[in-house]
Amino acid sequence: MLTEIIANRQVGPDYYRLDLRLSRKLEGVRPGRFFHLQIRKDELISEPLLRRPFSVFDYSAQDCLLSLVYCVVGRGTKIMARMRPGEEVDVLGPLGTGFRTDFAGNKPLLIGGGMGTAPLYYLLKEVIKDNDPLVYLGGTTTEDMVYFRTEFGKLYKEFGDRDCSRRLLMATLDGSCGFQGTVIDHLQEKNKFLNDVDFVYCCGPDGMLAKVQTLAEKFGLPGQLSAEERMGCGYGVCLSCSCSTTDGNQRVCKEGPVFEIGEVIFDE
Amino acid sequence: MSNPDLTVEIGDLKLKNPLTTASGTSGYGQEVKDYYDPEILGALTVKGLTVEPSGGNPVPRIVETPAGILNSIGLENPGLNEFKAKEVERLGEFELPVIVNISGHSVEDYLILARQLATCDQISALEVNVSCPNIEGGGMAFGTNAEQVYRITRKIKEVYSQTVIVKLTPNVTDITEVALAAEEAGSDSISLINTLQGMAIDIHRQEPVLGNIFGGLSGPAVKPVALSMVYKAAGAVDIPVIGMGGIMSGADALEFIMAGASAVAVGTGAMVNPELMPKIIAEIENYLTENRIKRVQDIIGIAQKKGGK
Repeated sequence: MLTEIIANRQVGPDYYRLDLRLSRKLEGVRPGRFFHLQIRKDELISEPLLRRPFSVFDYSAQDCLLSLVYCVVGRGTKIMARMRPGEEVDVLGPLGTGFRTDFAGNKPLLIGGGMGTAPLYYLLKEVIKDNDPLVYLGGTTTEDMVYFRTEFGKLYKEFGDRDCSRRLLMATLDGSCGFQGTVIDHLQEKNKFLNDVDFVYCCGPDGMLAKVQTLAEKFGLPGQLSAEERMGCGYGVCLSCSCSTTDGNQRVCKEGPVFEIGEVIFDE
Repeated sequence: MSNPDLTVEIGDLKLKNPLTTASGTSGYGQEVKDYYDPEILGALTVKGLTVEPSGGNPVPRIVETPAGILNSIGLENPGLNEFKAKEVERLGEFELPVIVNISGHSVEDYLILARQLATCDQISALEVNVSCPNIEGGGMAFGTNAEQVYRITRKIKEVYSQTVIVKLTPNVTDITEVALAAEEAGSDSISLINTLQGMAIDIHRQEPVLGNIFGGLSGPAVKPVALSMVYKAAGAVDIPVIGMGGIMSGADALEFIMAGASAVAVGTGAMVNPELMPKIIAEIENYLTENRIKRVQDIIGIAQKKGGK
């Protein structure tokens, strides 16, 4: 589907937010699902060939407005950062599975690591309506965290929690914002979070996912992880993004990216 | 003027148009249904099959390169038994010829697959993959040796009476030598090219990007190479050729047809744009109409005649 760029602005050191107007309302744009963006301008241009997958940061069905937050890490995202409002972008999606929100209880814990925080905003927006969610975000420096902290904070405020400091927690490696260290270090140190919550969501680097899975299993907590792997097609045909699970190989783009806790087998 | 005739023949297969899927890029035809009806194709070529289930190669399995991609999937597939139990029935529901791509580590592997698939009415043809660059032993090791290609093809023809297509690797010195070996052994058709071996290195980690180190290059980057190989192979053999390698448009497909391909397969192009297939068929049809060509068969290999050999 062709979309129009409404805005593409820098929101952190290497972070950008891309707002796209869809040409029509799409069904099934749920938290945790992703869109596959064509970076090359059109079919006449061969470069860059592969699409790039981005999870939904925010979506307004009413305005047909899709927002993605991305980090400039390579050639594709460098080209994306140069895209200007008014230009068109071809997107495929929504693809993959999303997060489920039918958990028992009302205290979900949302854990985000770095860029993995992006899909949690739209998830928080959905679960905050009927629940008392706790968000724990990890990053390297304050600069990495500012945008997410601000946006998540605004969402809490909108739902009546003006000072969300007890429900929106941060950990930075340099200690410049929140707890010094990783989210995992802190969770292990303060078991109380894990004793107090009903369900765990996590999106972040593999190491984080693996540790969150181990911790959740230790505390008998159900939950879901959003995994990442280099993708080809994004719709399940090429098997580039296979990952090992307790049910054999699964496609991150089709059966994932969201998997139940306990499902994904991480490398040691 | 009435609509141009797009039909072509590959062995016993009657294709309503020259377009098929490249093996491994459209699964078993189920996922693409979200984007187009697979029955619009001339034939459906499905994911490579091995006797035993295969989990494939370690990730990363894909990396983008200039105007192309390198993949090292490693033939991840459910194996013969599960394929027969779960996929064959569903493939039979498609109203079009279904071509199953088979791969093995030994001659016996190919024969087991050929014998077993010969009993499946839902399957119209075998594409014998002697050209996969991503598996240990077998695969490309067979396809680079004309004598081996002859031997495998001959034996498969003894146990499989329907259409056999031998898929060739471009990683050879002389493509006509292997093409002729397949033809002499009784193959009904040849398809080419499989991917070109390549690699990419991550300079930050200072190691190869792909988990398998090497991968197969595909996409627009390989098109000129593929085209020259199709031109040479089609010039050497009398059996029909299925051309592929970087086809992204109707114009690309027509180049292959004019080089001598009776049918064409699209892989990478469909991976990056699942809606490409119907577009390519329409573009071929439009070209024929605009140029008042009644049958696509009339332009198969037409550039050979003009280009000489």
